[in-house]
Amino acid sequence: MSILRSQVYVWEFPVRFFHWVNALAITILFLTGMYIGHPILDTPGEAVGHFFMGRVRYWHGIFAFIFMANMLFRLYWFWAGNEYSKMRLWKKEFWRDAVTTFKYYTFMTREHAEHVGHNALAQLMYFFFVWLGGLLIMLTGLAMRGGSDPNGTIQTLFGWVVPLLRNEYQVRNLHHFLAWGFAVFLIGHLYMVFRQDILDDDGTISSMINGYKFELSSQNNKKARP
Amino acid sequence: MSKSETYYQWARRKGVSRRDFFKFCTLMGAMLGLEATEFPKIVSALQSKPRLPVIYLNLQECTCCGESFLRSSHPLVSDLIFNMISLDYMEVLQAAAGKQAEEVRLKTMKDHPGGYILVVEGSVTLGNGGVFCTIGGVSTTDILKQTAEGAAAVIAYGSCATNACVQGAYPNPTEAVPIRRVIKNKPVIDVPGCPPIAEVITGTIVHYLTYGEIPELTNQGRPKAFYEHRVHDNCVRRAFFDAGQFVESFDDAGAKQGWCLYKMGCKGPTTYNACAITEWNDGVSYPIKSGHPCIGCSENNFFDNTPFYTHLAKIPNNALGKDVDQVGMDVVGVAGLAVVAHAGMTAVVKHGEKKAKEGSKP
Repeated sequence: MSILRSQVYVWEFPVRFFHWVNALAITILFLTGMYIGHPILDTPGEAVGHFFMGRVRYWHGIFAFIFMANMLFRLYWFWAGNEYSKMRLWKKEFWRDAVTTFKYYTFMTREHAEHVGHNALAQLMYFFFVWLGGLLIMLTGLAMRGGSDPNGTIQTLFGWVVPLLRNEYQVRNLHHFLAWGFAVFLIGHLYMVFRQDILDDDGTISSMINGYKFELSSQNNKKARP
Repeated sequence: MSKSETYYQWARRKGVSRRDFFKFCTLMGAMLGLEATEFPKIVSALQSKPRLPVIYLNLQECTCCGESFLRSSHPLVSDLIFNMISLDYMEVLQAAAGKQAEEVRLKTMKDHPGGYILVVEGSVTLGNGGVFCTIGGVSTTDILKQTAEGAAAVIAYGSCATNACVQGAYPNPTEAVPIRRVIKNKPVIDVPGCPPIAEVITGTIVHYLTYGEIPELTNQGRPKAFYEHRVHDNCVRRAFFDAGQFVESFDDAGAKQGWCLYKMGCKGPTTYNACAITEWNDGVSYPIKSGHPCIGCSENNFFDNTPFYTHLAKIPNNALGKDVDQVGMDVVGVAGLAVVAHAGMTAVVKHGEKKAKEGSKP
């Protein structure tokens, strides 16, 4: 039995581009960051022939700036993008949807409102883990980088973070803690993506690449499932 | 000693040659990170201005700062450093005691209102009205307030004075606080370290004499000339860090090779101090150079970041016995279990729905 579905162009190219650059940057930042915190590899021989830790820190910095530029770009796209690229936490409907979705995910209701874009709960998770966590991890990261050049621009702009957290050691601790936030987020994110794709068969996974999702034309969608 | 005697006159009287006097001025200028063109200003200031009286208070502390102060390094400086400041009151060194000693302090305060430098070693306590530390029956908090009243500037010397150090560590039973919390209406210069570098005091005084203002401070209120760089960024072992060569235990081959002490809990990467540049005991060495990780003694609340010999401290205040990465991994583990549980629940619920639908079919 075929199901009637209509194709909707949800994720514009800039959104998809942001998503995959973000995914790559976060992965590399997490791995290099963990190495910087726990350098497990042993470099033999004379120090003069090696620059391994230096290189890992270098790439951590490069991808940190890619991550930041990417986030700034996405911030712009909230304004410039289509309906599905927006996040409206101040709307009443948003919080109503958050409650409905929460009930659906906790099995209190069987059905959930159809979302072509993100549901409110997903957006809340992005807000806390990616945006708020991202902002704090950027601030703590920049504060630590700035210390290397005491009269540089970064230190001038972000030097206030260290006294705010009392000392740089706490800045580092917070930086580590926030990094784990991204790991927790990834687990939930991957699970929810696959779950959505399997249960609703709406092309969630492929939409991250081609931008199209499939809306059910029929109202009575559950009956139409095979 | 006449009251109007200048530093230069005093130094000449003490048998310091003019050449050595210039050397001292140049050294001070270099230490403060000034341009060579600024050096004549130092010379003229020290030649024309009378010696600044200094009152040195010892409050809630262990006197390690005073000990460091006495051992200030450079041979030229060590001779002058300690004498060039007209140290009118310092409990540890003065011959006078009791009432006599207090009279000296009060006399200096009366004779030079707004014209003396106050150096404070140790924290003040606020708990129970400050009874945990008293001198001559007066709480140190009151002594500090009284003495700071007429001071030109206050130098908080040592970690006790800048961040309450050991006695301020959790749970801080005496409510020890840095002097910055008590002195609000005077310029306070933080010189942290346990103990700190002695030259900072002379440097600060010379700067004050030459320019009539306190030196430029960092974002944490410390003289920039000494505290703007991390220990890590000027470390003698930095090459081993960048190469990825780390000491794993204090007696391994890496330790003998002088590799980086990062994994032994070295706090150099988060510590701002001049140890790696100025070094200690006449430039002989400093902890990392001698094979011991930096414990970050010049950083606020360094005593709460324990244990000292692990890269990450156990949080919070060692209560869980886990560092931040272990806590993070636990949280990830819980999240993973939650996902598995939710997936299982979903399977059960959806299976039930399917069954119910099939059952309702005619």
